[in-house]
Amino acid sequence: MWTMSLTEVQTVDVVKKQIGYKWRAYTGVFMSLVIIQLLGVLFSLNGSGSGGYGRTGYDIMVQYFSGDIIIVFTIFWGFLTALLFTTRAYREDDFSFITNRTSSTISTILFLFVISVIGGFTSLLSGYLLKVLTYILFPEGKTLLISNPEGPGVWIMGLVSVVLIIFMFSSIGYLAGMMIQWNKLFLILLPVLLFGSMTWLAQSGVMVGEYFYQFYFQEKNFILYVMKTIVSTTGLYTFAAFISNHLEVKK
Amino acid sequence: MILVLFIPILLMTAVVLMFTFNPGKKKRAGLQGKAGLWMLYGYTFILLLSAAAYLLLPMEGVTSASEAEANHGEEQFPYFYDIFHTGNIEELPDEWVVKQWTLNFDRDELVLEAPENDINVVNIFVEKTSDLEGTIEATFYQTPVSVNGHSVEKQYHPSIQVQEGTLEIYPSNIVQLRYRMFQTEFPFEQFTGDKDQRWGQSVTGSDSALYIKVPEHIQVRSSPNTFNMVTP
Repeated sequence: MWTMSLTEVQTVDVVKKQIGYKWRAYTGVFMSLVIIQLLGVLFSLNGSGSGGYGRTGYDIMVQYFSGDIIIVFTIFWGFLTALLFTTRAYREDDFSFITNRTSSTISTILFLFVISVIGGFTSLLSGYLLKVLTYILFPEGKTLLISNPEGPGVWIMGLVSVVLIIFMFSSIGYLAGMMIQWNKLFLILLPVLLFGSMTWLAQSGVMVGEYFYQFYFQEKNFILYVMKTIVSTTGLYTFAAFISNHLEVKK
Repeated sequence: MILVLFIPILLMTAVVLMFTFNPGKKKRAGLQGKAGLWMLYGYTFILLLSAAAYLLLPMEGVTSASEAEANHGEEQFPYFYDIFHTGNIEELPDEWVVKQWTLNFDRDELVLEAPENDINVVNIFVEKTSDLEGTIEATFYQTPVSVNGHSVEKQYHPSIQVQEGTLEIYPSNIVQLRYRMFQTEFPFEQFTGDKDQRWGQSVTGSDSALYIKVPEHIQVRSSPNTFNMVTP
């Protein structure tokens, strides 16, 4: 029979308390989420794309509205928030509890997961806000067309996928933040290395950005998508935790 | 231009820094406190209301492009123009007949002119038939048009008139169609296979042809490539 040791029980307890504390203390995270999603709605009011088609006798113009921009903004919000959670002020906040580096990192990652779920859920719902606002604010004489997710199954898959991608980007932000905390040089090195290598590889015909997009955003198999994002997120957070432990040693 | 692309990123960074990056405990408690949580609850409530209101909007549902094609018979008639080349127009559904003209014509030579038929061309087919005497019959066929699965009711047809032995074919007013489409967000389409048609590459139909029947003895003249002579 599997039993938890006293130390494990204590860690679980501390992690729970820390998550509760973060939920009450870091309410600015939710403020920024709401403002960023409203900004996304504002940017999308003019349509997220349009298409024109010429056929014999017809001139067809379709203006598309969707919450895509809001979702992209939310993904970026996840990245930035996680990055800021690595700053010394946030890390030291955890030490108002009897804690160690492990429980602090675990609670931060779990809190990031919780806010990713909230971010994902609200970003998908924001699409409806955008559409209702468009309908009310611009009552033009254009025919309105609609395409909806086909059934609750598709909606749930969409929710899971957007939560996982926000969480994955938060892990990228968290890792980048930890690297910067480890050595401030990374603040300059990371973007230079990232964009430099992408440009360099693009010259040899390797389009990293395109590959990244295809690997995650064009994966048609839901199970594979879930596996890819979870494995990537786990890898990135593990690496970040490893750096975090070194930060402690460095201090 | 590049700077414009960075504006949203800069804005978002500013927002996150302003509201999230607030490490001093006193400051956090004083400035924000529970405000952030209440903001989130209020916002979620508005979002849920919006989702409910959205369901009540009077909108036209759309079907997938493949369904639309099936509905409009394009699968049934994949070789639309072949039918005209072979003159088997009786195989075409009656619904595809947009307009018919019966024009009196008692000359031996017909000049066919379609001067503006160079953009979005109307394919013209001419068949000589012994069934007609003293008249010309023209029929404009068009496969039904659908935009993202929405059937278009407005139909287009060219203008036709006979003047002193010349049959003139002109384009008439273009049908202007303007739509707003509320699209599903990309995470909903990633696993359903609709992503390839995301930006509405699904305007189907509007294949069209003008089929002209003239009495057998009439000589038809025109500039090159104006029409196709049908030999049933």
